Amino acid sequence: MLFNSIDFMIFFPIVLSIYFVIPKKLRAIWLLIASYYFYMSWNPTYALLIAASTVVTYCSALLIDARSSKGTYKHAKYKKLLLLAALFINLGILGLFKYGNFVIDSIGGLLQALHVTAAPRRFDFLLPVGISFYTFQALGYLIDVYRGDIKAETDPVRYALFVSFFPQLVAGPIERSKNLLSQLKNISVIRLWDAKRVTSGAILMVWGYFMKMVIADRAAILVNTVFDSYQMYGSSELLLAALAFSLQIYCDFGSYSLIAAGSARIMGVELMENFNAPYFARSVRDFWSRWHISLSTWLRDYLYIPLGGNRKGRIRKACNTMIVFLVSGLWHGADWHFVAWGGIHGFYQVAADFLKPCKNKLIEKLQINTECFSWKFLQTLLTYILVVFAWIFFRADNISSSLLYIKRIFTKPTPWLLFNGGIYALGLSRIEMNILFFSTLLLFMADCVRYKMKISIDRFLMRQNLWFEWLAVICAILMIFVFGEYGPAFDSQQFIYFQF
Amino acid sequence: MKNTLVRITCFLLILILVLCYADKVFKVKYGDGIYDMTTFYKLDDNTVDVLILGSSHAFENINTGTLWEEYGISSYILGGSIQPLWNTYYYLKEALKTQTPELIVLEGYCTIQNQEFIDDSRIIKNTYGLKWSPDKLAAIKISAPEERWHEFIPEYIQYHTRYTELSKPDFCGEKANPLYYDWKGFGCNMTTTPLEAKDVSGVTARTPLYEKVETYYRKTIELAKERDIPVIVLISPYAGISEGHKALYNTASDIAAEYNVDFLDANSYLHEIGIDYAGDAADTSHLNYRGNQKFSHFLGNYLKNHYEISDRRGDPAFQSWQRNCDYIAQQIRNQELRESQELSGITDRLSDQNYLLFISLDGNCTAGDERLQPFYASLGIVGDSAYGGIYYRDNAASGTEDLLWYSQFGAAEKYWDLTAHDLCMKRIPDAGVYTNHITVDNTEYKKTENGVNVVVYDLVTQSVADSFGIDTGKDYAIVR
Repeated sequence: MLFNSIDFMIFFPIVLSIYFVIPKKLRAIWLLIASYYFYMSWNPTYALLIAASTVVTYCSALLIDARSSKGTYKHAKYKKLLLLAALFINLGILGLFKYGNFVIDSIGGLLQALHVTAAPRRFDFLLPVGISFYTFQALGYLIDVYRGDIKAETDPVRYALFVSFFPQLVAGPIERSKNLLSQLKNISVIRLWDAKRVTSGAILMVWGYFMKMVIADRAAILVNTVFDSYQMYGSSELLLAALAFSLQIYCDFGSYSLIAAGSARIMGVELMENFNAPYFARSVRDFWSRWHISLSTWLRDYLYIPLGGNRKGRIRKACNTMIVFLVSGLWHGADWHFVAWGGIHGFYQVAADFLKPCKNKLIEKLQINTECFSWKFLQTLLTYILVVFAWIFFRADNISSSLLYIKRIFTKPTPWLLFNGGIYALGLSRIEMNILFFSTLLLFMADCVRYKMKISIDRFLMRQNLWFEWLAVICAILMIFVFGEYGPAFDSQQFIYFQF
Repeated sequence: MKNTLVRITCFLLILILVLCYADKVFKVKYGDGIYDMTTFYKLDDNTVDVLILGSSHAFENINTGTLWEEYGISSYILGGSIQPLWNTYYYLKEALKTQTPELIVLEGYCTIQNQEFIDDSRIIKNTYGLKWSPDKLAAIKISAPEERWHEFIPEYIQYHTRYTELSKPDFCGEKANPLYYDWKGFGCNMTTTPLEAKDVSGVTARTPLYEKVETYYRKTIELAKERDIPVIVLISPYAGISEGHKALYNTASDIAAEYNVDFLDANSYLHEIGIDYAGDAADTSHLNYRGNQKFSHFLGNYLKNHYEISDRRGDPAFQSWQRNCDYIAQQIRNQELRESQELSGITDRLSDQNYLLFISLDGNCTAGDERLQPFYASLGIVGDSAYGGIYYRDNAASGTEDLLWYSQFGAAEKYWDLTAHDLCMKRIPDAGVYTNHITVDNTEYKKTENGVNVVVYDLVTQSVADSFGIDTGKDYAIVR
């Protein structure tokens, strides 16, 4: 059930209406039923996987917590064993379903390179949607309990809801136990009817739908046209498609997070912010503090810091950074081009660290003013270019395609297409391009507000006079209804992050 | 809490109004299918004496104007493009909610269909005009495969992408086109394609109808029978008929006989009708304005002779049929003007009281041109014989041969704000040379640089009826 499907348009109001009227004690169980129904709408069988992950982490956490009060070596070892066992089971499920075929294919490729004839059998199951999200969320909880940061949740319904809470179940944000679980504990005392909160949630949802249906799915048409036959295009089209993909993936993933946050907020649950004007970042490190924040911080807290973080020298820090980003790449997809994408981002950060003294010296020597707009703009622009470059590896089918794509950008110049209307033959007509441009302008304005005023679109609008707030929301809804990519003539795009 | 409720209500109200308006604008506005139904709903109850059902073979071949003018038959064609019989059935069901006709004419071309479903645009045309009711839902469901029902309901998702093709009628509705003011479902095809007749009268073979087609063919007849309304199944003449079609019609005829229903295949009466496809066909499936008048004359006569059908001429309750008839007649007059190639014939037709004439004498053409004097005289063109100029004439307003307005010297411009269009005439001097411009909605009409340019605006159809030039440099040839 996609957020932008008719099914969800029916599902959510029904869930919400019943949630608002049932006795407080039943709220959690109702949301749990709704969440499982939501998940099973893709593939009922895969509910078993999420249930297994829930049971394993729930029981392990209780057992670990029971040993926490006893600080002996034996108990510590037992706790560690339990944690490792739970990690093994959960990561095993993730590995089998998400990376099984990747491993088989990689081995097959290696054997072929060694001229060994073998035809390894592939698994014939589909990737369960959102498996990376709920696995990481459950494991985060388990590690928190292991570390003693939180107490184990004893209520199985509440814990099951924490793992499967439908707004963020299949594409995040990856919630922390401290945030979500504590809110779910108070779900029976949440004041449901809070006009401001509901309005704010509804605005977030509307803006999310706008980003998904008007921008992301429109940009996807151009992106798919070019990336699917990049051998037929030159520099202008390839660059345009790369830029369009940066827009598509931001609006696609950002919209899911917004709709998730908005729908949860309407129900009285606050989800963590997942995006914060990422393309305004002034460095790649800054970009990762604004992009998919829930994953970045998860990897920081549960991987980077346990690996030693930046506490063990520059070389070790560089290695840790590379490990984190390679894992991040692999988390995004079971293919080498995702690993390459993660590696590129890791390399950016390592290189930035090593080059920082040189950069500072250069700035000093050339007496560059680093407080003015032009310097900040240059930083933002360079960061954006580096991020877009890496996106090519993310979007292309494989690494060799990415390299060929980049090679063609430099070897097949077609600047005239920017002037003779050739860019309107990439799947989007002139009017569709204009709509995309105008919508992107609105997105830019919203991100400007987020970046400069440090408030989200809902808070910004709710601070304005009523007429402006209403006008903005009604215009956004109207644009979704009219310019949204939906209906039979349109091949509906899934949210990109569903595959992760 | 009270304030919040008021706020929410107001917001939702505004939102619904905005979305409803958007829906109204984006709705598909096809004449072939949707308008048939929407204008049908506006008729007074029990005013349609002959209800004609079917596809474009019905709404392009049967001229409601002729049926009215010659026989006083108040007919209405409730059809849709390539309308399958399952849609015809639901159209009839809907029609009988407000009308009790004296006769139902079922145009049977679509008995030859052999598909379970037709293309999407035809599904839309044949269902979206219906008012929401269980019958409409049933019509959509029978028209599309079950797994695609959600693509047609709600309707908006089918047409929200029309923002690339919006035009004036989308914002002004049926008022934008006078064709629909008193429309009775007939679309007059003005094209002429010379074709030859094919004689298939010797075909006696019978091919079974497609199962779904036969089911709804029977259901349609049975529905009429249940209401005690006489039915006639009619196959209107068309040049593209084949032996295969005829074999299917033979079966359809047998089925009609089972119900004691008349079956008239007009393709067997081409000689009696006077149809000559060399000049009467619009294409292989449809008759043009000459052919449909001949056929409708024949059909009206047949219906009058075989059924009891009232003559409503002169009845004030049926004035809209007269207006519809006048409109069609005017459309045909306009077409005849467009087809005229002789200046004398054009001159006669230009005297139509419904015309506004916008004339410019361009280039080396002057008011003193000797060969054009009879033409000038008929339009009342006067002035300095050494100059050209721009001239405006309203045949109805003047009532004489005098022009209402003209300009030969100095810069001049005049604007006309007509209901459906904006017109402008300009005469611009530049270094002693004048250039003239006749513009309709920002489109300039100029057929010749040297000669007379005429734009004929028809007040009945509210459109440019004709635009032609008389090229003095090409031996006064008519150029269009």
